[in-house]
Amino acid sequence: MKTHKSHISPEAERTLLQTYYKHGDLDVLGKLYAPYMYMVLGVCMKYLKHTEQAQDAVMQIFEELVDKLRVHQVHNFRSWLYTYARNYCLMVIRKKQQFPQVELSEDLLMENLDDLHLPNKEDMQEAQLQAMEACIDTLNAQQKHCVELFFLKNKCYKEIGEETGYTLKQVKSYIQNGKRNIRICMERKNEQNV
Amino acid sequence: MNKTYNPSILQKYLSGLLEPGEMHQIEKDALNDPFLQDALDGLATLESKGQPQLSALQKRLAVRLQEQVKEKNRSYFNFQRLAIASTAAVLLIAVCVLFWMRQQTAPASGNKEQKQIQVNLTSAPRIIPIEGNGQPAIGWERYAESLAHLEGLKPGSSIQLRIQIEAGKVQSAQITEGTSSAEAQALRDNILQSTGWKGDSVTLEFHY
Repeated sequence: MKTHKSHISPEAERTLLQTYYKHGDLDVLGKLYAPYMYMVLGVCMKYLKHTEQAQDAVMQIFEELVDKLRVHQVHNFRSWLYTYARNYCLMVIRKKQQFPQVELSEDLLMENLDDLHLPNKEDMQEAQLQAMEACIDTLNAQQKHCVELFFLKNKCYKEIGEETGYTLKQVKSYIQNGKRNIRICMERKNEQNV
Repeated sequence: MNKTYNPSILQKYLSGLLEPGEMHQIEKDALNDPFLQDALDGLATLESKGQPQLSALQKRLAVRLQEQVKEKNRSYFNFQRLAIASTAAVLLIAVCVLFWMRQQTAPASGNKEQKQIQVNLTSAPRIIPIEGNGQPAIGWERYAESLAHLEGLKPGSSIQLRIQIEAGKVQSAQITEGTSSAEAQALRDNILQSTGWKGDSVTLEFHY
């Protein structure tokens, strides 16, 4: 799973970005954008909830990049593109004068809290590991069950769903929320230690 | 660094065709990568998760890039060629204007030269009115020409005459300066006989 043959390396991506920044060659931009098109389509689908609109948005975002990437010097194209695509979709929704149909579910709230890194077990000190176990104990039963199966037993959502009888959506939600609760709990513990 | 998954892997994941370990890896990555998470959330809602969606987009992008090439070619004609053409046109016009300006001044000087030549050939004098309002009705130039048939003075010599006019006729003509040779006398006689004058008197200088 570490190899993604159809994708360009980060170095090549940076070179392409620089080339486009300097010369504005659309083919170069096409090479940069193409690998992300499917993911951008997913993001647009999530927010716009309409296949054709999402497809149009993917192309429109490309059109906007044509000018934007000549003005802004972007260092991390991937995360910049994600932010840009998401903002674009939110703007489309706002323009339509309709409230985002994205339900304010926990997973959306979660996504707004960027960079939810749960440290690897190997990297953690013994004390932290204990703290984490204590935090896992504070979760409600469903979250705890799903988090343990996911993080400790390395099971995928599908397997967890089969094992617990929850739907995939529920599993995802329990894991995302459980993870967030653990992070908050860990931060609180760290503050207490300091 | 967040991973960018190959679309085919994501498609397999969404169709549940991956090994549980692989699925777990993607899910774990998605937890730390909002881009991947959003993408998976959205892609899961696509009616057809397969290749058609992606290839349709790839086709549109290819068409768009193709258009750019055409546009580039067209703009090559539009801008580059137009620029060259307009520069050439401006240069052409500038050259034409320069030629025209030269033509405008050249004929004048050309005529003068011609006249000079005529003067030399026909020995018509150059007449300079110095003082007074008298002048021939036909104008100085034509009057000078009318004197060309006379045997003129020596080239380079000049003569000054004071002419009194009354009722369009020359009443008197006096040589006030210069030679009083036979040629000068002939000129004086000719003037005395001439008619068609305006004014009262004039002092003239004849140069040969």
